[in-house]
Amino acid sequence: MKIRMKNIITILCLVLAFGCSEDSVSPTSSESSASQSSGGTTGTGGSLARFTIAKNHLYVATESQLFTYSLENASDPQFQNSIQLGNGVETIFSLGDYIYLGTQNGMLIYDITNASSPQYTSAYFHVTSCDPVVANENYAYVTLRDGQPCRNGQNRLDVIDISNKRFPVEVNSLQMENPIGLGLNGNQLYVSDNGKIKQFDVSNPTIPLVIRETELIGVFDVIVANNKLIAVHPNGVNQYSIANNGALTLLSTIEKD
Amino acid sequence: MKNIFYLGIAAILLSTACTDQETTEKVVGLKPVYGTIDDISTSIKTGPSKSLKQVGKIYVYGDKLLINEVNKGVHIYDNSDPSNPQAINFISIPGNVDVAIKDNYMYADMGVGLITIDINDLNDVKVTSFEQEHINIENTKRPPPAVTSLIVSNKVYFECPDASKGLILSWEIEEMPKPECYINQ
Repeated sequence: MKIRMKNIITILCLVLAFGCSEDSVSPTSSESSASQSSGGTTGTGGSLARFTIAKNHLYVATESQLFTYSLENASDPQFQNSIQLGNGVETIFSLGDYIYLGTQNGMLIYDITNASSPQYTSAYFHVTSCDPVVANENYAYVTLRDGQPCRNGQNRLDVIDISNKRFPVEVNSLQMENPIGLGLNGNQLYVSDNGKIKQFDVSNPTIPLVIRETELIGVFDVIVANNKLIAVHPNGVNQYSIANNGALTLLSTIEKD
Repeated sequence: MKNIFYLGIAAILLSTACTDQETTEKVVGLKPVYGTIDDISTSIKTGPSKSLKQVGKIYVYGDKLLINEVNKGVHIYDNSDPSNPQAINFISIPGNVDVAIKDNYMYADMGVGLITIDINDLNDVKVTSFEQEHINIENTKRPPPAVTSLIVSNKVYFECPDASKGLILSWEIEEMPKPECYINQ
């Protein structure tokens, strides 16, 4: 299984369990829409982001490297170091003392306990990754996508136990259509998948259950925060409210020309 | 002596062949647009809101919603009422795909470097820092993936960058004599 999947191009999406919900208690959350912490006020990107701010540092994932800047003086970021990651780096996500990178060779985990000097912690290599990485204290939800620029692959949603950051372990893998970005609101996981926003119940984190689907042509990423979901698609940006049961109600659409 | 003569003939034939190829074969490729740091600063500016054309990534900052216009900049919306987001304006940032914000300073990629923009006054944003010494290394040698992906071809030709001409501000798609440099994507 592990060898067979080696060439699969993937999207890694790790969604942090507490990161997105309004009642978040995560002291290091970078996910609320304007989190106020010791590091100042920052915002929230989608799961396809290449920039993330954590612990008063800006981390930038380029095609092949991770750049670290100190934001001690927010108006003038100071370069700290760069780390070679290999080719095909696509996304970055931070939570707590870790950052997660989606690369074409797998998901990389770096420890930012010392924020100005990220340290390699582990890699999840059993799939070849392509796009987003978002993570959770204990579980990562990973999407694997077929198609350009992801060559030959499968379309899956993998669940990875990352409670031990040094030993990520796959605990489940679900068939999908063509999944891209995703986000989490408490026990609700939302995945952009082939023109639909799919809502999964992850009360049991290792067994995501499809609850319902909301049609949205071409949807490629979502931001989930404060019981709202913002979905971006080729024709614009839709905003939804999230009901207690996770159902989405369309609030507005910003349409392109 | 005879050998030298033949070599000479061969050289003429070869050079002719090369010249012919260069002048006749044209491709649609990418051409660097050169400039200075001042050019970069003046290219960052606030303008009236625009309609979305090529929708990129999104970013939420407090009650503001930012939508990237791929390689052009960011649309800023007042999103205090998500059922009725209001366009505020558009910040031009050539080459931009990603942003992040801390304490009203926006960090944005430009393909050619990392720019920091003071957005305390959204009607009058100011560049406070530009970093390319470290981050620019990859993109002084080739167009960034965000640009090459605009060309629908496995082989993307581009005019080889020449550092003596200045900083690369952006890349233009243009028909050109087939250049030496290309990327397989």
